[in-house]
Amino acid sequence: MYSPPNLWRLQSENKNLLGLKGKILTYTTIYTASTGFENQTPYTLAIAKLENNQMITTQVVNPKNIKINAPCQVVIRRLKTPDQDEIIDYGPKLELL
Amino acid sequence: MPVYILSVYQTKFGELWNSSLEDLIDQTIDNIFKNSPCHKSQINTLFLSNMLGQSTDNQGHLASYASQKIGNIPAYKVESACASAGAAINLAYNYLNSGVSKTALVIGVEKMTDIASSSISNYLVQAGSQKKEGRYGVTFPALYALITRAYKQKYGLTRDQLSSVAVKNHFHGSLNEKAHFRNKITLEMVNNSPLVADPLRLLDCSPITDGAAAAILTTDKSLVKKITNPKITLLTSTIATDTLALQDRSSFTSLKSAKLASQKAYKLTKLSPSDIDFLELHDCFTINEIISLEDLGFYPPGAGKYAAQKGQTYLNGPLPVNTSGGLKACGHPVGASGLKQLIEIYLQLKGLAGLRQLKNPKIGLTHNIGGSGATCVINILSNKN
Repeated sequence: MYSPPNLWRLQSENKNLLGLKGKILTYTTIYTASTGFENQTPYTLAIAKLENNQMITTQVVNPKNIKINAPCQVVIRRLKTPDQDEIIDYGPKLELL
Repeated sequence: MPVYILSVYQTKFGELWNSSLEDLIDQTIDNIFKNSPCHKSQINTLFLSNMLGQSTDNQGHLASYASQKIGNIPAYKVESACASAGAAINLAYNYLNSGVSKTALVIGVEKMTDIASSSISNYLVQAGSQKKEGRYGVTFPALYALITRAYKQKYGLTRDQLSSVAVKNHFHGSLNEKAHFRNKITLEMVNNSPLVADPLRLLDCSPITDGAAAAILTTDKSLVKKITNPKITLLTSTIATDTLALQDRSSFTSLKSAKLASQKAYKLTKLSPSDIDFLELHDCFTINEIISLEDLGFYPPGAGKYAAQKGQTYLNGPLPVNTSGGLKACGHPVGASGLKQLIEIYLQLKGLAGLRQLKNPKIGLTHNIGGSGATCVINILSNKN
């Protein structure tokens, strides 16, 4: 569980990432998830290199035609499914272009 | 000064529902002294490796728990994820070599099967970067699946080549009475097992396992005299690290920490891969045995995938790998696995490995990885005195 200040620090990065373009370096589709992600399976997750040379590991929102070197951009989405007493964590995900 | 392995003990690995985390520590300490020439009072220092006790059992400070059965000696808990036991051996080796103490007990323990697999999966992600990986739903199979996909893209890789590693290690595990899984499996069984993180399937993955293992290391000449021949020495123990998050590496198809630690070990011992008779590799996922064979210099990049498929790494092959069954079949209680690897090399070098005994091995190597490669420990053992 993230504390509110921890989430605030993490989410303050979102504005710097939103809209950045990049390309997929490697990817996988997860069928067995850890706590908080079970109801999202199967979900696809990739490592991408962004146009500012930053690397990112996150979920792909439209993975149907994913392949290595596919172009993508950062969007902001809800991440983990929160518990009843948790704040919703919004963060970067990847959208294939 | 030479560091000798005086005694070893391993519990059965598996789903040990009758034993708690503390029980496993107690049983291991009781049993290692039953057949040891060493008395508890001769232990100067204790190292205990464990990764998950604070999450699974809400119990930290386990080194002090273990030392209750030994005495008021210095005791340290070591946590380097799945390389915790390797790191504990490394610390003990350096501690003894420095002359601070003469005899150390190293214990590794993990209790994983009491809680839901989704919770264990969540805790295991602590071995990676929570900020860069865990927050986004990364699991450990997923990290190695990302590596597998990158390897396949760079070098080519067939489903059967991955599966051959699991088939081989289950065959070895069938000969090990301490192994979690003693059933042989086929390529078809691996190929048709459920996907966990594509392209890795259930039978590509090491299991969630309970277990403990321990070794007594010594430089004490009065104790060394009591060791029956052949005496086993720990020639060297090296450790190297890399970035916590996979995304921050320059390569996804090789683990730099393994390359650095092994190169240092070869340099310190003046050995090369051709001098090593057999290996215990960290096959947490089938891809990692393939990559490790390349990182440690036994196969060129891209060629490790042929080793198991061609039978070269079976116990009757030219380079036996994971005669214990590896993490895949012997099981992977993460805080104990590095010690189990050391024990397998010890048993083989002593000629005590039973049905899986190799013919006259002289030098063996262990390779223990933490996380997706953020830590690697290499130990080289010999029975040449």
